[in-house]
Amino acid sequence: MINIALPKGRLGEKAYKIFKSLGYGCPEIEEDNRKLIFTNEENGVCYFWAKPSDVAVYVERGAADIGIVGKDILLEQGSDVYELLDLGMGKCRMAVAGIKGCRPSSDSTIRVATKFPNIARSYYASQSRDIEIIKLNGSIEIAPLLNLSDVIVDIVETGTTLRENNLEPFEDIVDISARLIANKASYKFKYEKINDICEKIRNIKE
Amino acid sequence: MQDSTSFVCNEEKYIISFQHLCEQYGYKKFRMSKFEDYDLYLENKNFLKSGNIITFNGPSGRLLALKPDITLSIVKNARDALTPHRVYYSEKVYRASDDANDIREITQAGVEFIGDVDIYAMSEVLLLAQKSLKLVCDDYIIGISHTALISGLLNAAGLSLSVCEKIHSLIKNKNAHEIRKVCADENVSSVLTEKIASLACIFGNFSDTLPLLSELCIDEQTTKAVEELKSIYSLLLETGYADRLCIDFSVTNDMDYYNGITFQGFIRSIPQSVLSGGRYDNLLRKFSRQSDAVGFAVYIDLIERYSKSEKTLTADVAVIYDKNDMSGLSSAVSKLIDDGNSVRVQTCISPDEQYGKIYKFSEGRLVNND
Repeated sequence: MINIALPKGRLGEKAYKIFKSLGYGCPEIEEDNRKLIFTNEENGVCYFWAKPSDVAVYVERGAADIGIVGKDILLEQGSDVYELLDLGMGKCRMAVAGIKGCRPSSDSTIRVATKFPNIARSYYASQSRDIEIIKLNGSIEIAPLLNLSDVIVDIVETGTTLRENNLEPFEDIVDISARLIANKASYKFKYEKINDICEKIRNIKE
Repeated sequence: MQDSTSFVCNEEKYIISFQHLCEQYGYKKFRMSKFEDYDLYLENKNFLKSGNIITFNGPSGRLLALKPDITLSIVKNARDALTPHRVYYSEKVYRASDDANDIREITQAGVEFIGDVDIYAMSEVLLLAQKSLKLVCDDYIIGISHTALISGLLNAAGLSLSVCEKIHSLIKNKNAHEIRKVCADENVSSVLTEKIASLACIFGNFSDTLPLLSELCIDEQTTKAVEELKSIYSLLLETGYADRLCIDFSVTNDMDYYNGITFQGFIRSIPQSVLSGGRYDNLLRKFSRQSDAVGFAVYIDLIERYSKSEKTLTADVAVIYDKNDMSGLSSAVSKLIDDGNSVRVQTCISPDEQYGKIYKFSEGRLVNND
């Protein structure tokens, strides 16, 4: 039996469709019911929905053998898991942004508002810049507008929200997309099945 | 949904069988004090799995540490000698968690072989590693990597130290797609890129993976590394301990300290490695020793945490007595104990206690109370 952690939301639904097309479908999950865990004994898979930022935790601790998670979360949490595939879905980028034309000067400490303090810290450390992190949990774009911060470090998809609020991306930090991750011990004991899933996904990607 | 655990492991019992195992192969017990000078760990920080060391001031202001590791102390005290130094240990080590909010005492057992490390020495240590997992459960896997093979390929690509470190950590995460990306950015040839990426992908037992390994031999160093893996495998084949050994480069370890084989052990239904080891000649050089070294540690606390709980009786027999009727009670209890039972004598029984048999003591006799 392979336990699969799917992130709640669009990305998880898209990922399930891929698994289904590979022959790892699970009729229970498509029914309208209040179950939390969905099992298909015949093809040996078991799915559950998790909060996207928790998927890597389930996998790292072996409650799920494999899972689908955004690279942003992997980088932020530094999870000790195998990152087997880049699924190429949910593409976006992690970027530094701020008020149009107001790049912070290089002679002062930069105030950075973000949901991703670890990513921000390591990015600025690699540039030897002194920063002050302001951890927010959402609506990051407001921070520079209210002068709470000089810049934000956040996910940029199309850039529309930024543009409409007189903000612009200054620098890209890293490209983000959904990854297939596996628990390091499960991978060894369930190698054949996990490898089979990877091979099949690789084939449809090509 | 975690797979249900199928093994029982009790720390005290495990240590006894582990010690017996090591002594069968002529290893001697190493005992150390709880404290060491902090400098020892500070100078070799990368050798330690976790950097969170618990320190305190000793008398006369020396900064001491509660030992987070045993190997460093063993190496510090080892002298170059004619015959190898074979030691084992089972000791408590102390670590702070990453957020430093709590301090943990961890029981660690391990084996170190210090001296002339040849193919036999490495296969002996790998055999001991497997036997020490087999003490817990038959369903284990040892993943094995070779530092010289990885560093040989990375050196051939002519990458800077920081890029090498990045690729090294990508190999640890079996992240082949990002290795290809980094190599492309660094203009590594596509042939060499595929060889480096395959370090992240190769997994399987020796007979399946050996042909793939020969493709990774590009110079003397890499060829020698693959030959070494092959020779260790054929020695282990003789012992019947070869089929649970897998080639897996993701178990690689810090390249400043480890120079040859590195390995990790896994037990089914435990989500992380429970054994870790390798060849660390470089550490001995840092202490100006000429000897080579290979060894491993077993994380007993982790194994015990995932063990099935042993259902044990409170005692074999309970005897319930009345405070006004005690004559003859002691001799009746002694007789039960002489018959090989463990006995608890009390005036009543609480619901959370379990006994094989319950007697009532009344008028000088034991009466069944079922």
